[in-house]
Amino acid sequence: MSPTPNRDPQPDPHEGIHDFIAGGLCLILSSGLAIYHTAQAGRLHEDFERDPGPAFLPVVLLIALGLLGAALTIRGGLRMRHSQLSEISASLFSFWPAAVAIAILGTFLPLSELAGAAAALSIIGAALALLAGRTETAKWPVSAVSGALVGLVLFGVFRFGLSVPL
Amino acid sequence: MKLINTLTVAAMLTALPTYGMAQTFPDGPITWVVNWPAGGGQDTTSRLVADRLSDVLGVPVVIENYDGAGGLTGMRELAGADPDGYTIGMLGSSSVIQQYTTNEPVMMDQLEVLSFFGPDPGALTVGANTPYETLDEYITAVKEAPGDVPNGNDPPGGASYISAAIMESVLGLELNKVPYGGYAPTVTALLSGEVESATVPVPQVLEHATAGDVRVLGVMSGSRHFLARDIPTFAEQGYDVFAGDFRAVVAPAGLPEDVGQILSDALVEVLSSEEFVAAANAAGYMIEPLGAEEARDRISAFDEQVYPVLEEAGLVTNPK
Amino acid sequence: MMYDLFVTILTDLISPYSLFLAFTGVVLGLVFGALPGVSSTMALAVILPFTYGMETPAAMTLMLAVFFSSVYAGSVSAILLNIPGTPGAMITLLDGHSMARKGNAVEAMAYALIASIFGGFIGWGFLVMLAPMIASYALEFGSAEYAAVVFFGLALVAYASSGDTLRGLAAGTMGLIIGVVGRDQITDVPRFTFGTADLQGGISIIPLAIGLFGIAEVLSLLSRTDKNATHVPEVTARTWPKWRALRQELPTALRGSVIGTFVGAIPAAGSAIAVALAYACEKRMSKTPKIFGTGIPRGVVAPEAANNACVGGALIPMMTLGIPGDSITAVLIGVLLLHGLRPGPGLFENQPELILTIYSALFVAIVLTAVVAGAIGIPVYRKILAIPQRLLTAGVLILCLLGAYSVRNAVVDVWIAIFFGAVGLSFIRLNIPVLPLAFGAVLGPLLEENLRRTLLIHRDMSVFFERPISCTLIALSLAILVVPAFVSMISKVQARR
Repeated sequence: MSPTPNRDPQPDPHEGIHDFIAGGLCLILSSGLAIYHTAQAGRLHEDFERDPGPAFLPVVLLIALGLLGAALTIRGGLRMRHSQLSEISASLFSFWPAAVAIAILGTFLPLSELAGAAAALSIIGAALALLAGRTETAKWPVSAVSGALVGLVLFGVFRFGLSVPL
Repeated sequence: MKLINTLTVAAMLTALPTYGMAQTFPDGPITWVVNWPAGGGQDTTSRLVADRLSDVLGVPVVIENYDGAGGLTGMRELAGADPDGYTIGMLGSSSVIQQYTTNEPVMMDQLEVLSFFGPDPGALTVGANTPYETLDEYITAVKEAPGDVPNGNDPPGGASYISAAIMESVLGLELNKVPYGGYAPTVTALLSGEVESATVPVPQVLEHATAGDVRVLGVMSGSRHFLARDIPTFAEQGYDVFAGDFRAVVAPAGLPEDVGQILSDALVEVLSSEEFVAAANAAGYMIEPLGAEEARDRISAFDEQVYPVLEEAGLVTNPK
Repeated sequence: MMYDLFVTILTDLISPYSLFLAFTGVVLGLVFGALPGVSSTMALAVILPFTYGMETPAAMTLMLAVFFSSVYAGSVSAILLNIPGTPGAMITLLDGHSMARKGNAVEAMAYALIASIFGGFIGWGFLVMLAPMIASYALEFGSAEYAAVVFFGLALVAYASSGDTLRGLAAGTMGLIIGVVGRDQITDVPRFTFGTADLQGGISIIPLAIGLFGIAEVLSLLSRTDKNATHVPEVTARTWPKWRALRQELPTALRGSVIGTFVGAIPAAGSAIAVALAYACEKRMSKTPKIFGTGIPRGVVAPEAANNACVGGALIPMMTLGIPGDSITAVLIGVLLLHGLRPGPGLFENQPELILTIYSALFVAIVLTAVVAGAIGIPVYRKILAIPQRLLTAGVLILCLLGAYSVRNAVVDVWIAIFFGAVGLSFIRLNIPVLPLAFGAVLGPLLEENLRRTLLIHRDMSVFFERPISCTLIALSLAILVVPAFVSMISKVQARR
């Protein structure tokens, strides 16, 4: 049920490697959090008598995630073929626009500290419009200016229409 | 209302020149930080004051609601604002408690107290289907079965939890303190019989008491609650239990003295006006207009009362 | 006599002044509600200062108009941009956005509107006729029932969610872990907060959903090199559905509305559970469950009828018990308090005018929402699709940032949205379903809190089977989880023969 239509009738040939990566991530996440959780000082691991206590559910969930991760990794390992590794690293590269967009979004808070939210949003708007407009025919100054305007308008709506303290 | 406004503006005008540079304050809108979402007690009381404060000071007073980290997000916003008098906010007992129980808390010395708003004393309420008709009966029953009587309250550190804990420590009781996320779910649990008692303030249960669904056994304050004159206090019944929430108005520390004085005076003026007290009382809030000095004393008195209770409950992570 | 009073009050409300207020409220709700992250609560908070000087009926008319129309408008950003503005819209986007991708965006909005209005009226009808009865049923819901209904909701989501089971379970577990972050509701002990105060209040759901659905969707489109990769194609199909098609959705709308009303009436249960129940119920009853999620009207009608019926439902505990059913009715109670009125069990006897005013105001709000959204709203919303692609991308991403921030005015929420944007993108890439993660995060904390509270009060788990409501719900949940697996096993065995 992913939000993009990725509903090929055939099973994706990359499913093996997907399982492997997803399983690996689950294992890393669960073990990392487990170390943090068990090491946490304070009242977390005290005995709360009738109540199983705040430490109980996280432990159950982390074990579940670890098991699911292991299952996914094993399933992925069985299905995976070596030739696919190079394919997947090549397709990773195609994600550069998304990475750039995340980086642009990440500048919002530092920029608004520096120059105010209005300026930050117009710069971000311009940058995003340029990024998204790279395959379109519109001239880049037009994209930049209109993107900046979008940022400014939305700033106005939230700051003045909704009196959000930006 | 109009007349009062005119009078207060006139009073303000005559009072102003004594504060020197303060003639220029305020010359722009004042932001009032509420550290809880719209609709709660902190929000309603803030709006009641802000609306009238704006009339007295002659500038808009704009409410900004913050939510998150049990009120800490808003307090940090307030403490971190410029101490120029253009950002003020409301503070409750939970902010005093959080100094000792949370990570990265906002300490009271980061804030300047402007005025007291009023107390919101705790009360002990039991469901109509419980056998407890009087406070004595309740206390006897709890003593007979320590840790068995379920009492509805906030999560540890919240106002009604602290009320229950103070009651426990003064009377030597042991309750089964069942936490709920706020007054509304606590009252629901009391009505449905899931808990036998609750330690929420009087206004929360008043309508249900009138309807006969619950019985208020005692109020944890020095005098009876103005909304429920027929309900005795704990002290009247021989138990020295004083507990409950309170509200005060604060600004970031480092406020220029004269600016603080103007705000404090204006707040006391609003809080003392008959029209305001009537409106606040109708909404269920007790008003006790006190200036900065007395408000500070009240807050430190609460601090001294509550710290040992927190320590006893094992909640202190930032010792004094 | 009650009836005469009702007619008088309704006539008062049809005065030009009241109608103007209601109209303003509906327009504001349609604008604000369509902005992601701007919940109905926020839209109400914005107009709150204007209600101080009004008479109580006028204030209630304005507030309820904003309330109702913004709940409908929440489906708009879900359908057009794949951004759920509220937890109640998280289900709508499954089929709603898929419809939009097929070029039926306007039709999806029309279905959502019709279902919303229908749900609104059913919820209203229950409110007017059966409020005290439903309120007493809501009081039957203790912590044990609560825990059971949340468990039921999780089971339904697991059932309704499609895609690979193992990955879905992993995503759901991650969601439950996300729900654990912050101070524990029972003991106030911080968990997974990494020593920062920013995470003490937990990871709030709207920023998470904005990132997971909205930002991730745009990011994924940005990375596509083919020029046809647009958000939503220009509208190709008709605007208003055919009468015959609508009539087929009637039972769905009815079931969704009833579910919405009853779940809405349980204090603090919230529309997220209602929409999950409604959607899963339809999928369960359908002869062709596989087509859910591919963009069918039924997948829009069920959740939209449910979340708008919640409006009437949420008013029930407020009017009969004086208890806010959710954060929105909390604001309404705040307004009543500011007007010196104290809602409580005595309201029906002491202030019948107020009760009837609220009934009439909600009625007017529903009618006006239908008219304004149909005549102005949808034609304006469809213009969003005409915005050039690059500006839509920039606009949607900025909207996500601002929406995430404005939920609580907390800076950390912006980072949360961006972070979950990246998470959502990798989920799309790895073909992991995201819905279980979102619902795990919504429902997990509710389940844990109520389960542990039940144990505090009753000492052991047997109480879940001793109480009729929780026992039924748990049995149903198990049936949902076990029966399909059983059926598919049998059919596999039969196929082998």
